[in-house]
Amino acid sequence: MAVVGIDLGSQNTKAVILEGDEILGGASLETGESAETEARMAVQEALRQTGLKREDLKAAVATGPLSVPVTKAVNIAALKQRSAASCIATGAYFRFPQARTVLYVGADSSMAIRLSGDGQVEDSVKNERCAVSSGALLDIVSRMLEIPVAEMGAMSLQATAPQTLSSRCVVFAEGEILSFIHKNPPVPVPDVLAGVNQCIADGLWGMVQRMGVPSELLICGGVARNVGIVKAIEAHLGKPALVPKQPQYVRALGAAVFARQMEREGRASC
Amino acid sequence: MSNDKMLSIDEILAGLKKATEGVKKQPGLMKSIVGYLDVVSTYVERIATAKEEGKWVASHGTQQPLEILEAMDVRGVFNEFWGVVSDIVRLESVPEAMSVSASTGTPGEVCSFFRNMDGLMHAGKWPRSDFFLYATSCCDNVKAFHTLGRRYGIPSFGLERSYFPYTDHAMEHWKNEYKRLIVFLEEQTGKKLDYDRLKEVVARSYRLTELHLEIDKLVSHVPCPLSPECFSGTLVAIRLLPGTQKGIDFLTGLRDELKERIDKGVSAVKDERFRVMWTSFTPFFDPTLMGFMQQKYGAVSVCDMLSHWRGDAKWMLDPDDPLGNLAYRTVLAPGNCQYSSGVDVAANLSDKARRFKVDGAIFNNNFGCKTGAAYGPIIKDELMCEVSVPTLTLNCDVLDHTFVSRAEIESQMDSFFEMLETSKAYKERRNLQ
Amino acid sequence: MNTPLKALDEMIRLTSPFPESVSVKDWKATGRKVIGWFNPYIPEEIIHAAGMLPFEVTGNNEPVEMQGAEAHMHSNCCSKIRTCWQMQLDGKYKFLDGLVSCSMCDQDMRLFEVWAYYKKLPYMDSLYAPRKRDEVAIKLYLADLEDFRSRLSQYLICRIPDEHIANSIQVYNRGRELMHQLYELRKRDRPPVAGAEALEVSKAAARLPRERFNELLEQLLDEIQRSGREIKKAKRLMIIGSDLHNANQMAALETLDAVVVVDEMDIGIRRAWGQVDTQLPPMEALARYYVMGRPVDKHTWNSDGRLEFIGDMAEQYKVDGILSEIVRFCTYDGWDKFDLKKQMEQRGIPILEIDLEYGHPAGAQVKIRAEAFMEMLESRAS
Repeated sequence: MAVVGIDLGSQNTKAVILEGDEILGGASLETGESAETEARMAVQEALRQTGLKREDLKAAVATGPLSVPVTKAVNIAALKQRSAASCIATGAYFRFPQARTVLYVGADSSMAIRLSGDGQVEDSVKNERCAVSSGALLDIVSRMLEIPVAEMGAMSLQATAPQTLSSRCVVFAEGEILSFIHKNPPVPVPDVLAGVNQCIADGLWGMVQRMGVPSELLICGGVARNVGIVKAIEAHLGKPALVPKQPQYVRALGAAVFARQMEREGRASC
Repeated sequence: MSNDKMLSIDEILAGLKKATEGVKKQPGLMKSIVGYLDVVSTYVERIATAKEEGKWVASHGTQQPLEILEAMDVRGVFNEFWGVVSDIVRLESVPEAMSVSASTGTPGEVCSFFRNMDGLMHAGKWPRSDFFLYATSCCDNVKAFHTLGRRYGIPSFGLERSYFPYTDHAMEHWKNEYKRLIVFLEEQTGKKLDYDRLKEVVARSYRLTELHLEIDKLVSHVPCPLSPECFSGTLVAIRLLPGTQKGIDFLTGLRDELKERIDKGVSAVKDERFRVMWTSFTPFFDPTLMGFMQQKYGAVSVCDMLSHWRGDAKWMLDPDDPLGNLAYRTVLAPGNCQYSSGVDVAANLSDKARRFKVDGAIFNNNFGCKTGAAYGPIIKDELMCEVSVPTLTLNCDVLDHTFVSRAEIESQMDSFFEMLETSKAYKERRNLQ
Repeated sequence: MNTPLKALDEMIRLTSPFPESVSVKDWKATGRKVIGWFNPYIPEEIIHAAGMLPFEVTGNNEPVEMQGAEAHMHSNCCSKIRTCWQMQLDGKYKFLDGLVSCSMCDQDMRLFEVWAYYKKLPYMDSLYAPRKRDEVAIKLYLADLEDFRSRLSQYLICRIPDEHIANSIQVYNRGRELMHQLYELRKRDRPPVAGAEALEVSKAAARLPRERFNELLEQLLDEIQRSGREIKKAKRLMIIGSDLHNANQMAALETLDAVVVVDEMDIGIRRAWGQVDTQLPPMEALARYYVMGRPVDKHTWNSDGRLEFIGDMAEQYKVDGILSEIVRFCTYDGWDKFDLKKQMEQRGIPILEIDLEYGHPAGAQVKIRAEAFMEMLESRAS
């Protein structure tokens, strides 16, 4: 019995189809003006990849900051909503049951979650008002330096002398980065990128610390694809972190696991 | 710059009147809501009519011996409360006041209660005040009274209370500050304080404390009988009209209604799933939030830090020494918590969590509050360690609803209550294994 | 080109690496204790009289990245207390045997409590810093000082008699007198030291055993006299606002063809101000000095005196402009801003307001504004 998890993020909408313990497929689309349309299209694309039809999906769970308006739009008989923290925790636990702290880093928000041994959320914290501990700063830097976000991680690993950012505010950080690239001679781009990574990682590490020093840390969310940021966090941790393949899908996967649970417990009829 | 949204005192009065009429038509609310709004309206009306009645008006901060003002016919304008009632009547008043405050150069990182006052004063919408009164507790922002007093030519008097009030010399010093206050008031008003009248006022104030403690006990009942619309009832009576018969009548009525509800099995919400403690202030910036929590999660607000009495609150040591009683009362009184060690506050709140059988705590981390910002984690850790009560920290502004989106708050609450429900401690507490 | 000042270099050498410096290690090696303190209402003389080294807990010239401090205090606290706490978490203050605080502001009060909760030291104590400046406040503070002395005695299991305190007062008074001399030299048209150099001297006063500091400062003043040193810069500046411990922040501002000739910081001019009255009983003398003996500071409710003091110093030191730097989230500085600007403008003294993160170099936007300010001063002069 297949089920789907839908994660409506501020930047991308993702859908993951799960059958038993097997991930059949997933899709990610840019979140546009209509969250409902995006959700429907993401599910459609995931179905197309798996060759399934909509009628084959027995349950759905939606999550993410934009999940509220889509309940009626995604035309699946049983659709519930679950909180972002639970879905992240469940998706992380599904992939790595040994994870005890999960660090989710998204486009404009981040979250640190402490898990119990059976994958339940024990505590969680979100980034405080400033978006500097999220992907927001990466987007700004990408536009300023005209480098695709996807390439910034690898490029930052070439740094020889990372340029420290003193500002913890995205707006002021932007000004600082401008001053680096207009210096004479300019700060090399990899050094700027490494400094940006350090700034983001330091803020994230503070959130992880609030959950207690983790035995096993899992990093997920779209920004976890940035190998430079992962390395900067690992430098704090003192050992490698757990990073699932396609970490941007963890929250949608968690939603799918809840849908599976719903379906198994017979709550998928309405 | 527009000044239309900022509320004048007349608009506040009109708004309260409208609210009073409105609640009479709304089913399902507690009867005491009428008394609640009456207390608030009376308070505002007294300020509005002070001049024509030949009374004096003192704008003041927290922890003032308002009984002395009451005994001298001085009407107090509690600056923090003015922001709260603005939010009740018109949510857009505070953000506009903040803009105006920013235009005077006041940074956005100081307390919003004071920024609201700054903005309203600049726009000429603050109640006409004859003088300002302030005290060390609860925070550094009281310096604003002196600053604003200087700017607008309003005399001010500050009462200094040691951060460590429990020594003999500190208490003696504090009591002496009251004597100095009386000298200041007598000079300003030309009136002598009638000590017999003060004793009567203090006695009534003590009655309010007794009623407050009775009400606390009733509210700690499971399920909780107190609905959100009357949540701050005790605080309102004690902080706005202390030492008055109206305050006593209101709390007596509230107490009786709570007893009746318990006897009849009427609770705040049918299915009480979570009992919540607010470990800083309640969400003044969004008056609908507590009702929303009840409706969506079955989460009932049962207690908060601001209305917490320390110790056993028997502050009436000697009926013939009103100043000594008031001095002693201050260190125990609600709202004083913040002006003390975070460790001490955390211990008090742990005790409160036990008595009220709390499942989860919410800490509103007010952006402009420096006392709160650095004791939030201590309280969170202590609650978890002592009573296994987790805390949701909301980064917000005490008055300004535009600081954080409602969607963000709801998203965080979704996560928090889901987590609570699956937690071992919650299941044990509720025998849900 | 001015020659380096050997005595200053020695001060810096002895107080490096910060904070567990050469001097601290030498002190601890003799089996003696170090008591940390923060904010200027802690009477160092009492700690000194007890045979311990009073050491001011601060940041220094290197920016400190927040890597965990915000687990114990939210990020809307001032960056100074977060810096100090981060340094504690990094193990930099592990040499402290105790910590004394004074509730001068909400933030340092909470720093102390966070320290007490998460990293309790063998001796921890706090006092109350009066917001008023009058006889009643002195009486309250004196009673607190007596209690403090008593508790410290209990910790050390020895008395701290009045004679010892009187002696410590003499030693600290000498330091104040010498620092005052240095400040007086900065009134010259071409001062002998830059602001960044003077800041290093002020910092050393709170990090070295006072007797050693006094010796070195005597040498420094002698060197200045003999060398005929002069700092030739176009503009004279005053720095007011939050305490800055990062001398590089000051040096960066001085690269704009300016020299900082005076400040209004607690760690600066107030450390060099006046004398504790040796004619009075020592504890009473301390209480009077700490409550009323120094210029009005920002935590005093009635800041009329502070604003007047700033204006007077700006005139005495013939400054061309004032840089009002505020570490974000400082409540006291926040409420003085409006009147400060107004009063300085009335006195015809240009003032630039900047927000800083404690300990971090001034960002690009600050530099741009400072440059524009200097250009404005230039055009005023011509």
